[in-house]
Order: sequence, then C-alpha cells, then structure tokens
Amino acid sequence: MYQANITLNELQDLKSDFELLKTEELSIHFGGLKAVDGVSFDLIHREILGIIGPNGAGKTTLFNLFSGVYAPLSGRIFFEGKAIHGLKPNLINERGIARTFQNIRLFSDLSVLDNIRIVMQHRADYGLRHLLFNTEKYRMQEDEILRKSREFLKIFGLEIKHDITAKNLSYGEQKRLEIARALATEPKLLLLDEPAAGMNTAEKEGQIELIKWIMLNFDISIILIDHDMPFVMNLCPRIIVLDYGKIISMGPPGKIKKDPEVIKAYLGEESHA
Amino acid sequence: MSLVFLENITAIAGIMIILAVSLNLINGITGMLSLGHYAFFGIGGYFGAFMTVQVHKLGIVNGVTGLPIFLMIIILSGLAASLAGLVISGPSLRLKGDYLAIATLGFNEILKIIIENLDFLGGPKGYSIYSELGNRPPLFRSGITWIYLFVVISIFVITRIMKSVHGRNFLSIREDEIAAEAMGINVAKFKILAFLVGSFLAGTAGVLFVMYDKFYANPRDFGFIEGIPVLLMIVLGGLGSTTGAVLGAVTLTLLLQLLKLIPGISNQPVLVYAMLLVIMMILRPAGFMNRKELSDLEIVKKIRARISGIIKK
Ligand SMILES: Nc1ncnc2c1ncn2[C@@H]1O[C@H](COP(=O)(O)OP(=O)(O)OP(=O)(O)O)[C@@H](O)[C@H]1O
Ligand SMILES: [Mg+2]
Repeated sequence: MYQANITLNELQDLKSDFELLKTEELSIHFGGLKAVDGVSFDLIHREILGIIGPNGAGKTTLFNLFSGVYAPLSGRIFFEGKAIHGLKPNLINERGIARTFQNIRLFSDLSVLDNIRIVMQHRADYGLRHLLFNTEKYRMQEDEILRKSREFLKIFGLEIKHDITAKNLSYGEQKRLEIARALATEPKLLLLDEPAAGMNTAEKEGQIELIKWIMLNFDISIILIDHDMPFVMNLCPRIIVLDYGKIISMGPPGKIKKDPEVIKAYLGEESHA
Repeated sequence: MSLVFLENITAIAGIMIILAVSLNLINGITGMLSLGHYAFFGIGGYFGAFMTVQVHKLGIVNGVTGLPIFLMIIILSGLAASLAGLVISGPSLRLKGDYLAIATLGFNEILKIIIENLDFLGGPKGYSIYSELGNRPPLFRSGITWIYLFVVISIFVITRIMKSVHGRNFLSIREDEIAAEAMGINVAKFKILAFLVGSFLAGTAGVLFVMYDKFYANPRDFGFIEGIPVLLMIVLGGLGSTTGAVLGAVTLTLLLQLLKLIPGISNQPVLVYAMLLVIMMILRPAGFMNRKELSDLEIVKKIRARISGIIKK
C-alpha cells in the first residue's frame, strides 16, 4: 500500500540542515526517581530518530515532556528555535508537534470519521452566530472539514470504515487511525510511541514502509520509540538509547549494535527478568 | 384529572426538559460529573424573583413593558447563574470524576446555606414575591408559552452546537481529555464553556419555575437532593443524548406525578429513584437513546429522505 522505496542511506541524505527540535539538559523526577535525567540532543527537519531502551528507561516520559503533559523540572526544549517547555499540550500541538500514545488513546466511542473531524477544529473559525443560524460561512467550513477528513481516511485506507465506532476497529486499524489523527493536526514533528507494538513480522514490514512514506509525503520529522530492534534499525538512520533516564548511546544503527554500554543495559535487563 | 393539573404537569415537564438537556451538556456530552446543577437553578430562581420585586417597586412595569422586562429578567437570571457556572468551572479544570462530583455537590449545598442566611432574600423561609409586593401578584408571570419558548431555545442551541466544531470538542473531552489536549483542543476553554452554557439554561429554568404560579423562591427547592431526579432523567435517557434527556425528563416527570397519587409512595422519592435505576440498569443500561439522537434513527432518516424526495419532485 505505502511503498516509500527508500533505503536507510538515502533517508540519511534527505535530512536538511534545519534544526527542528533541540533539548538541553532535560530532567524530570517523580519522587526520588529520575525518570529523565539531563537529556540533550538535536533533531533535524526530515529526520527519523529512534529511541530505544529497557522498560522504565524514561522514553514515554520524554515524549510527555515534548508534548507538554509534564513541564520539565529543569532544562529546556526549543522547537523551531522557540522555547516550548512548560507550554500546555494544546499550544504545543498548535506549534506543530503531534503524538500517538503507547496505550492507544482514541476517542473510542465516536466514529472513525469523528476521530479525524474533531482534530480538524483548527480549520474552523466561525462563531456562535454562524453555527446557530447555519450561515454560508459555517456550511463552507464544515464541508471543508468533512472533505479533508475523508481525504485523510482515504490516505490511511480507513474510508470504508468511517462510520464504525473507533473501539470496534482491529488493533492495527486503531494504531493507524491514531497516526492519521495526529497527522490531521498538521504537525511538523510526529512522535510515535511504540508504533509496531503487538504486530507480527509482516505487519511490522508494512509499518516501516508506512512511516517512511509519511515522512516523505508530509515532509515532516518523526521520533519513534520501540522495543523491536530490527524494526528501529531498519527505519531510523540515527538512534538514541536511554537507560535510567540518561542517554547512554547515540548514533547510527551500526554503532548502537556494537556499543558495549547498550549491550550491558539490555543484558542487565535480561538478568533482572 | 383537571385541566390545571394537566397544565401543571406540562409546565413542570418543560422546566425539567431545560434542566435535563443543560445538565446533559455538562455531564453527558462533556463528561464532567457535576452534581451541582440545582445551584444554577436556584440562583436563576432567586435572581429572577428579586429582580421582579425590584422592577415592580420601581413602578416601571405596566401592560406594555411587562413582557420585554420579563424577558430581560429571564436572560439576566441566566447570566447570573452562568456567573456561578464560571466559578464552579474553575475546580473542573483540576478535579476529575468523583472529586469534581463532590466539589460541585458541596458548592450546591454551600450556596443553599448562604441563601438561607441572607435576610434580604427571606432567609430559610424563602423569598416571597407576594409579600414583598404587599400581598399582590407581580404583573407578569411565566407559563406554558414562556417555558416552552425556552425549551425550544435550549434544545435548538444545544443541537446546533453539537453539529459544530465546538460540540465535537465537548465530546472529545468526554472521550479522552489527555488525547484531546494533545491534539490541540483547548480543554480548559471548552470545559468552562460547557458550564457557562449549561448553567445559563438552568438559570432560565429557575426563574421560569419561580415565576410560574408560586411567585416564591424556596431554598429547599434548590438543594442537591432535589436535583437528583434530573440526574436520573439524563441517565434514563442515555447520557450524552439530547433526545434522551428530553425523553427522560418527560417520562420521569409523568411517573413522579402519577406516583404522587399513590399514598405512601410519594414521601419515599429516593426509594423510587433507586428502584428506577435498578430496573433501567437491567433492562437498558445505555438509556433509552444510547447516545443516539432522533436524527440518527433509521426511521427518521428514511422519513427525511422521503420528504426531500417529494420536495424535489
Ligand atoms: N506520572 C508518573 N508518576 C510517577 N512515576 C512515573 C510517572 N510516569 C512515569 N513514571 C516512572 O518513570 C519511569 C519511566 O517511565 P516511562 O513510562 O517513561 O518508561 P518507558 O521507557 O516508556 O518504559 P516502557 O518501555 O515500559 O514503556 C518509570 O519508572 C515509571 O514508573
Ligand atoms: Mg513507554
């Protein structure tokens, strides 16, 4: 369905010089636990960056900081050169960061169409008078939202399911709808929290192509978290490894694979388990 | 059954419809568990009664000015109630679920106690327009026409809102607040908005109720306990459905009025509510409408298609 037909090296070359996201010494603690501890890195426009690390390493918490769920205890986040740390999630989304959730969070009792339609709210600016009296302006904007939403569903192969309640979609479709919903807010940076979790090998292959295709077609940057090594390594020219809230390694898949720190972190996890 | 009895039931049903559809906007559509709706109802009632007395004392009410002045009073009472709605929407930004329920319940009871201690509003005895005006009735009053005018306005406004981005924003908060906020929706703004609209409408219901035939605002009418039937109505109708809220309001009003005719049961309302809830949970846990609206029903869609077909011919 989505064939990006592009190799890792070609992806690497696609990156522009434009710095989209920059974090400086980002930290947040929960009680005594340092969930994210002095994390600094940059992200370039049109980059796909992977974040891996053992359970509880702080990956999701990092996303929660980027998306404004938490304000950092210390450190700063810049998006397109402007500070965004401490902003409310909806304002961060307006700036151009959208995300999915590790445990899918759809508007599950609403239709597939409405899941997309809701987040197109930024496309309407009609007031109470227009909606009460069904004015031309109201109808034009609503029609446009409907048209755009259907277009999005079509892109993601969900158009025939537009009437179905979101919670009745299959797991894979729900994941796809959640990505579609995030993209419908027109972000410049997409954060994907475990987009391949719960998928079989064939589905993961498809997911890799989909994510590459999204990056190329929407012309955006993507940061993704996943536990599946081959998945991340086939998709991300650059990978960050987190452990106990700290970056313990950063670089291309070849380097990460051989890094003794990384091997130790993962072996450590196994011996715990 | 006398005509007056029928008229009274119709009037009460109308007021209950306004209360139910407005509470449904806050609880059913936006998903905030508010138990303080009767605070808004009461503020509207007291404010309207007080204003009515003031305009009569000013001597500006006559046959011509009566109607527009009353309309103004209804709207101002709604606004007074929505001021309280604004106050209570503050906690709604921080508290969720049971905690918000307790806060709103407390708000309702505190307000009742405050009113009971305000001498210029009659204290615990309540505020009688009659006695304030020297045992004369006011020159205007509410009635079936006024009540159903506001029933229509309430239903119309909420139904239209639900066909807009704003309505969908309310729904997204009920569905998943965290996701809604992450997708750019200003959750705080729309929670406040739901309370503002809901409390405004409840306030208009309050003045319409007080000005119906008693001309008397009684603090005991506006407690949290008194408001339980309205909660029951929106649960019976199916939380989130405006059509359901209307159906719930009408059926429960009729039922409660009929039960009044049976001696022994009428002074056990809580027992009746509990029984109703149990029966409903067994027979139809999602309420009459299960979040659907009239316009979602297949039969209505078919009729509509027919009609538009005929018109085109
Ligand atoms: N709101 C919170 N309050 C307290 N502790 C938290 C909170 N959120 C996260 N934590 C803790 O912070 C640590 C990092 O959690 P996080 O969810 O970021 O891990 P993760 O890397 O995403 O793990 P996984 O791979 O299992 O998803 C964990 O120990 C977690 O229990
Ligand atoms: Mg996680």
